[in-house]
Formats: sequence, C-alpha cells, structure tokens
Amino acid sequence: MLIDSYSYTNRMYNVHPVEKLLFAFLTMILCFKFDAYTNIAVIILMFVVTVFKAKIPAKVYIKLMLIPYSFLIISILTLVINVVEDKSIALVSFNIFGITLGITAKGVSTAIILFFRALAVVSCLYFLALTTPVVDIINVLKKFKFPSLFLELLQLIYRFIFVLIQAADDIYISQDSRLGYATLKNSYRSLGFLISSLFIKSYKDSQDLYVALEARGYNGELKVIGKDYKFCYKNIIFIILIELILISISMLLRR
Amino acid sequence: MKKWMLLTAFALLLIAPQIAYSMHIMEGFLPLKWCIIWDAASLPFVVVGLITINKKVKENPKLKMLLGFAGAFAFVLSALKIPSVTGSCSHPTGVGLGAILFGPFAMSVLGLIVLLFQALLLAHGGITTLGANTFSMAIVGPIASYYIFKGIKKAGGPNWLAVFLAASIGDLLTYVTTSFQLAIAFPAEVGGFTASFLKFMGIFAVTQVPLAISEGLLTVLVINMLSAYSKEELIELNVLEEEGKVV
Repeated sequence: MLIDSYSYTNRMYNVHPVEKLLFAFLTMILCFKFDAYTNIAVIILMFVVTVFKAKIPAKVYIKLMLIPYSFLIISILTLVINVVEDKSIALVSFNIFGITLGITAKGVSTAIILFFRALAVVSCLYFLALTTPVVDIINVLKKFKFPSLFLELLQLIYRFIFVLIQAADDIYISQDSRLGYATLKNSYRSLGFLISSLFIKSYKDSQDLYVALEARGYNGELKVIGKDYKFCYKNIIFIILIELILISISMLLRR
Repeated sequence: MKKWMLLTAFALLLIAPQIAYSMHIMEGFLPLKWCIIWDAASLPFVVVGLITINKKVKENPKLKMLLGFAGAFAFVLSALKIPSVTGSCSHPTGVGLGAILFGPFAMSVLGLIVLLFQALLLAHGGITTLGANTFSMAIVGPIASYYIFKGIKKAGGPNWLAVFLAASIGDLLTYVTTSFQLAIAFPAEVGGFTASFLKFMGIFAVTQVPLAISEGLLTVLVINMLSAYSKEELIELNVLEEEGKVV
C-alpha cells in the first residue's frame, strides 16, 4: 500500500487536513467549470505541489498517473468513434459490416476536454491521497457530523484492511511456493482456499476483537484521540491566491 | 479494410484485460451534473443500509466488528487476481459473494466504504465518481445477486447454480449499469443514448463476460469450501438476513 505509507511520511503531513481537503476540492470544482487550458494548469500545479512541496518522488507520482490510462483511453476511443451518416464531416472513416464508422472534429474536441479534465481531477485526488492520511480524513468527516456508525465502520475497515492483506499475502506466498498457482485448475482451487480461509480468519478476528474490547469496558463506542492540528493562515492565503489566479487566467483564456 | 479491423481488434484485446480492474469509472470522467445525480441516487440506499445496520448492531454489538471485517474482506478480495478463463488475469468484484454472505443492505454501506478506500489507497475509481460507482457496484450488483440467489433457492434449484448465477449475473449487471452511466452522460452524436450504450456494452463485454464466468466459478468454490469448513459461522451470520439460509 504505497499511497498509504506516503500519506504518513510526506513533508505536508503536518499541514491541517482541512486546508488540504479545501485545496483539493476547490481545484477539482475549477476543473469541471473551465476547459482544457485550466486543466493542464491544474495538472502542472498538482505535480509541483505534490512533488516539490510534499516531496513525493516524481517517479512514484508519474507511475500513479498511469494507473487510470487503460480506462481513459478505451472509454475515450469508444466515445470518439461514432456512426457517421455523412462521410464528408468525418476526419477519418471506415466501413465495418456495411456501417460507416468515423471520427468527427466535434468528437475530437470533446475527447480532448474530457482527457485533460479527467487527468486534472485525478491529480487533485492524488494530491489529497498522497498527503493526507485516512485517519485525518475520518477526523474531518467527524467534524462535519457524518453518522457515527458510518465513521466507526470506516475506522474499523481501514484498520482491518491491513490485517487481512498481510494474511492474504502470507497465504499466497505459501501456496505459490507449493506450486498452488502452477496450473489454471490449481489456481482456482488455491484462490478458493485463500478466500475461504481469509473469510474464516476475518470472522474469528472480529470475535476476538469484540472479546478484547469488552474486557476493556467497551460500550458500543470507539474513542480515539485525534492528532491536534493548527490552522496556518499563510497556507489559507496561499490556497485562496492560487484559486483566484486559476480562476482569473481561465476567465481571460475563455475570451 | 479487413486488416485494419483485425489490427484494432487485436489492439483492443491487448489493452482490454487491464480495464477489468478499472470497471470503476475513473475520477473526473463524469460531468459534474451526473456526479451529483448519481450521488443523490445512491444516498437513499446507503441511508437505508445504515439504518438497518444500526438496528442490528443495537441488538448484537458483535456485529459491528464483523461488518468491519466484512468490509476489509471485500476490499482485499477486489485486490486479488483471479485467473480468467481467457488466460489473462482480472480482479474479482466480490459483489456476489458479499451480497450472499452479508445481504444487500449491508453491502450498500460496505461497498461505499470499500470504493472510498479504493480511491484513496489504490487510486482506483474516485471521489467525484463515488456515487456512480457505488450505484453500480454496491447497489445494483448486490441487490441483483441477492435476489437471484434467493429466487433460485426458493424455486428449488441446486445451491451451486444459485451461487454461480448470482455472482456472474451480479457482475454482468454491474457492468451494464456502468455502461448505462457512461452512455447517458455521453450520448453519441448520431443515435444518441442507445448508440453510445451499445458501444460501451460492446467494449466492456470483451473483458466482463469472461470475468463474470470466472467470478461465478470462484464464488461457487468459496461457498462450497465455507459450507464444508465453517458451517456454524455461516449459520450465525444469518443474523444479518434472518430468513435467508445460506447453507
């Protein structure tokens, strides 16, 4: 879990999570409101902030940016290639089963907008995910009065994900070293065993956890002390300034 | 022309297996309007899910821990690789298994949380498309799986068939919903929504049909092993869904 470990070790770990959330979400909204130029600016801005301010290695950041590419390219190709009735408006066209498929200029311009917007919003998400630990996000949600049951489930699931991934990893290694994934049939069987024993472990661990909590006076509420953060006015002014600059540049470019 | 077609088909098959993981609509892909519409569409199901869970947790406080593990279980499941029948690897959605084990209401809440963590920890899916992805993977899929499972059991069908169809059809419906969401947000210039819907269905079918079959097979195996090794737990688990007996 690469992203999670960076969220605790980056240089912006001590910045108030509300500031980081504000920065990410305000920029995301701008990405939706304006067109490709703003989005390219946002992609660069988020890269600079994440790599140079939070000191996330550029290699890691670029690798993450490549994750959504298969979805992005396939979906955009699907959107761009259309049935065209009039061959003259198409930039490229070809025949399949007697239907003319082609790419129109209008299709290309929507595709370009969509491509950069998706990448810009993704980079906002990465900024947030790489600099803000999940625990901090949950604490912010608590301040916004999300239902406590939902937040407790978030906390529990976040913790247990790591317990179960460790267990799944161990099981996988021992199965693999015994040729458990050598053939297709074996793989299915091994994976079936892995999942069912993972399930049994989850069940047993949840029982044990309840016993352990109850022995320590559990009354249906998990209380955890959150980290104490201080608002930094310099950061807030910086965020407002950047957003204003983005808005004004986008407005100018629109004309 | 034929060469061109073959080449495209080949290229698609090369990239396509990777898309299986990203059945989630990526961050920023949907227009803001549709993000909000799908958020609003998912909200009532999640609220009902939370209310149902809350009631059951009050009766049996152990359940909260179990649900916590159930959510983590679903997350880890989606990070595993299943060998697909076509030879490539893909990731199970866990939609069917979760719905059968924990019921559709719990799955709506757990699914939302799992999708949030997938966005934050694995960079799959996203915050703005959380509502849309929740609707397809945590609401439509599990509800379909659950009722297919119960329907076949009620009609007296064999257990394996019920599990297989629940898991694979739940999977298929998830991808049909995603295609619907993409098509309605981006209707084609000619042919509008229908043309766009068919395009997305066609593209996703390449990866999702084999995946649905693999996941169906895998879920049958898991349920069989579970009923062999941990019958008691499964029976106790039915506190989540009083009338439904899994085994």
